[in-house]
Amino acid sequence: MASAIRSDERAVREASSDDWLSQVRRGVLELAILTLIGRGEMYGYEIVSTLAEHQQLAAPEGTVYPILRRLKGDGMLSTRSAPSEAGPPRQYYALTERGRLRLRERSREWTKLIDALNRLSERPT
Amino acid sequence: MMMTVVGEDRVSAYLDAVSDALRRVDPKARAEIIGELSNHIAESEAAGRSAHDVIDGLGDPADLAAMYERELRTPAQAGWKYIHVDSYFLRVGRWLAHSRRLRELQIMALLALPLLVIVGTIVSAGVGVVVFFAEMADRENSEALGLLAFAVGFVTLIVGSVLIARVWRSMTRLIRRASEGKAIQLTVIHAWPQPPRD
Repeated sequence: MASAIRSDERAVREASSDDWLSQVRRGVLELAILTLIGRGEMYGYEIVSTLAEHQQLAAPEGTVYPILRRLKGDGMLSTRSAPSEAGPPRQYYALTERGRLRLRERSREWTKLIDALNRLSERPT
Repeated sequence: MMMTVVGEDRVSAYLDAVSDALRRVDPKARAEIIGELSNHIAESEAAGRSAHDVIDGLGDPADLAAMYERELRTPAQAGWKYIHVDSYFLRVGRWLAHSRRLRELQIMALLALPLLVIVGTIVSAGVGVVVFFAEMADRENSEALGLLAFAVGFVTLIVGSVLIARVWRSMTRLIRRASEGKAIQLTVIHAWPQPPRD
C-alpha cells in the first residue's frame, strides 16, 4: 500500500515537472529562435537541428515552424528562397529591424526575470 | 534524395492530411506551409533520418495544423466563427491586426488635431497682421505701410513654412518610431482577439 502511494507521488512529481519544463521551454522558444537568427540568416531545418543540439531548448520539430511563420507575419523576420540540393527550395530567415528590436526587448526582459528569480532565492527567509 | 516509395507515399499522405487540416488557413499561406514542411522532411532525410522518424517528430497532422492556426491567429482560435464564412473578412481582419500602414494612419489621425491647431494659429496670425497693415496703409494712403504689410506677409509665410516643416518632420519621426517599437498600441489592434498563450 505504502509503496503504491510512493510510486503515485513519484509519477505525479515527474509528470508535473515535465509539464512545467515544456511550458517554460515553449515560452522561451521564440527568444531562442530570434537569438539564433540574430546571429545570421538560417533556414528552417537548420534552426530546428541547432535547437535540438541544446537539450534544454530542444523543441518538437512541429512547434518551430508555426512560430517562424508568426514571426514572419508580425514583420520580425524576412525570408528569401534559395535552391537546395536536398529537395525543394530553402526558406532563409533573417531578422528585420523590428525583429532586432523585439530580440533586444525580450533579451532584456529575460535577464530581468532571471535576476529577479536569483534575488528571490538569495533573500534570507 | 533517398526517399523510398513507401516513405514517399507516407510523406505525401502526411502532407495531404496537414493541408486538409489547414483548410481554414488562406490558400497561399497553406501552400507555403506545405512547402516548408516538405522541405523540412527532405532536409531531414538528406541528413540520414527516415521519413517515418521525421513525420513522427512533426506530430499528428491535426495537432500541427492547430499549432499553425494558433500562431497565425485564425478565427478558430480567436473565436470569431462568422469570419469562416468569407475569407475576405479574414484577410481584412488580419490586415487590421497587422498593418503597419494602418497603425501609422491611426497615429497620424491622433496627431492631426494638434497639427491643425498649430497650422491654423500660424495662418490666422499671419493673415491677421497682413490685413491689419494693409487696411492701415489703405486708410493712411501710405506706401510705406503697404510695403510693411507685404514684408510681414512674406516673413510670416517663411517662418510658418519652416515651423510647419519642423512639426511635420518631428511627427513623421515619432510615427516611424512608434510603429517600429510598438510604443503606441491602438484600439483596433486590441480589438482583434488574441489566441490563448498557453
